[in-house]
Amino acid sequence: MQDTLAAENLLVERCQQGDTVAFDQLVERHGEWVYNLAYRMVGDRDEAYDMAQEAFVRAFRAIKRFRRGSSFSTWLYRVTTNACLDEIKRRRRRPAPASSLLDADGLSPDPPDPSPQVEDHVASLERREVVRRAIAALPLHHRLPLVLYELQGCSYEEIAAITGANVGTVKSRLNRARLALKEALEPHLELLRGG
Amino acid sequence: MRCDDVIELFSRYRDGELAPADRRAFEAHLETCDRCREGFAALESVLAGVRHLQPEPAPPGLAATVRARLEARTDRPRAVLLRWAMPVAAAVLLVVIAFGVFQVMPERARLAQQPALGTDRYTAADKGPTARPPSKQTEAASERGREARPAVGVITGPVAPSEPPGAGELSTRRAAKDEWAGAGRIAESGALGAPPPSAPLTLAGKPKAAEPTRKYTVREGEPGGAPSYRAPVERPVSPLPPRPAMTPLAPSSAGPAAQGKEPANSEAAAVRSVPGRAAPEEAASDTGLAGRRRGRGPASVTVTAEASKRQLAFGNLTLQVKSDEAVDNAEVLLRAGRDKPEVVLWQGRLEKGTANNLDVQLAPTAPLDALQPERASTQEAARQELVIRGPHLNSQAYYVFAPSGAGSRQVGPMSRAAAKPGHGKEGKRAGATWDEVLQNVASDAGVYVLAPAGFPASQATNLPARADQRAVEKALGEMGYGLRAERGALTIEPAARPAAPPGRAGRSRR
Repeated sequence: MQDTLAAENLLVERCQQGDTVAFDQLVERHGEWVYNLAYRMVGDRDEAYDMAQEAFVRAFRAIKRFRRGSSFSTWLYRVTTNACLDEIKRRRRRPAPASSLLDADGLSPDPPDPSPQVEDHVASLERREVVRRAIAALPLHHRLPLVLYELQGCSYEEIAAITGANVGTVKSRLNRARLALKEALEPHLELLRGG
Repeated sequence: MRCDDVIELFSRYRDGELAPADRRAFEAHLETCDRCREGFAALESVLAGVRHLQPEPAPPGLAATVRARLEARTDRPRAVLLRWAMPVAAAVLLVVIAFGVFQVMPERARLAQQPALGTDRYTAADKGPTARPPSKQTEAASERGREARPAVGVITGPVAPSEPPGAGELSTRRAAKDEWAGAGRIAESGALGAPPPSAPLTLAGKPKAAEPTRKYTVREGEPGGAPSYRAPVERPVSPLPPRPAMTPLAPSSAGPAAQGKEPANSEAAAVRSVPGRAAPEEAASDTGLAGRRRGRGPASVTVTAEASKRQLAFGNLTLQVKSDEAVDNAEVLLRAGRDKPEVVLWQGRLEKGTANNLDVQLAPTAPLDALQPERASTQEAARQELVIRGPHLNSQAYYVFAPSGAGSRQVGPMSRAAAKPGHGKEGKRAGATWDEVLQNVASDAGVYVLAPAGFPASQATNLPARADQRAVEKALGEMGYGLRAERGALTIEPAARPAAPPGRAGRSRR
């Protein structure tokens, strides 16, 4: 772990000196996390891809202002979060693309895993889709901590650092988000428990 | 403890945030309250469903795309300058035109009124305190102007500031000299704010004031004629400077270490490619490169790429060429397969700076039937050939190997968490595909995994981030494979004397 942090710090240092190759490696390291956060926030793969790009571009432009000693990943995730929020606000001003409705987990073109039975696979897809839609319907201030905590694996403190809120607020919002999600998914409990 | 209080504590209890006393009270309440117990169970089910959402693998080529955007932004100042130059110029022009119009419009209004006034006398009262009586010269000019043709030259004066010094000054100077002198002076006086001529000048003719950017000249030989319009000359676009002679792309050349190039990371769709060698001569003639290459360099690089059946079925491929600036304006042919080189599925071009990504949209009419033998086997990826013809900027193009035909079954139950820890509780999904593992491992440790077709992933060999071709060949040799160069393409194939597979796992951990 120490080696990882040291290597990352070295990469960050090189990036601050304008080394784009080092930044490529940072993108490779954090690309999946950044992309997943964007995807869970907007629910559209293409937009999430654009958002992830935008987040990294912003990060590169601002990386000289990053202070060493703090966590680069937290800083990057904050940049990503801001990029996501900006994009979501922008989307509110324009109609959602029709494709976003089709770009759901359950309707993804991924081939089915051949190992489970077809029925189980269909149920699994349906579960994912129901949950995904419920998350997407949450208010933004609930959705963000929920995604960060439940899907992105962040701690309270990390979420607080990313969102700029204090830990108590994060806990409160997370609790509210969970209860709201439970309420939204209660009609589908049988489906969820079937998995 | 009331039900409402318990519900508020659901999250904190679940996350172990409750003090022991509160925890005991919470549990005691759940034992006695069916509603809260069911509610808490429902919450657990819901959150289990949330965790069931598996993380999406990062799209291939994210780093390359980000790099391209960053590189594009480095050119931004120039682009911004170009973008703003024309609007700013247009705005300045508009101001100049407006200035000219404001100079002319009062003239027009007053001139329109003059016949009604029935006098050509100009009085100070007509124009207010700032007005001045016309000078004798102006009056004289007015008189001459009445006789002179009401040419468009009259309007040239007010808009003169907007005109280029050449033509505009020329027309003005000429007007002062020849029989247009009166009109020219009227224009100049107008520009000075002097009272307009009392002569009923007409503004008939072309509204030249609205075309200040055009150049008007009075040609020699027609001194008294109307100025002729000379259309702006379109400057031919200067051709690009000749490209430097190409450097041959030799298999034995040094890799990216010598170039200071970082080998690009692999991606899901196309991760198997190797440095090309000398290309067939006809390729050079196809691209018009004959005579521009130095030595016996190649004119094409063949990259063997793979696309899954799913990608082919959807006709949407993202292939990645593992070389920064390897090609420039190169023709790209996507062939159906080694056995069917005559079948071209897609044809496009690679430009410099976008050489890492190839977004291929197969036409609905693409002859996918040619792939039927491969597609018949559901677990095997269809093999294609990606032929790139064209100028190569970097002869030391380095490509990363990845297994061909290595599906998830060959990878085995490798944990994603083992490949890339952290980033969420969902990262422990087993059964990752080879592509995912390859991406994660490569991105995590800067190490690229090398494995030939069908080689067990657990016995794959790592490559250092700056591995050169010698390292590639050595790694292949350790696995009992070698490189074979043929017709511009390199292929991994079993060596004559396979060496014992290394015991080292294909995962590189930090």
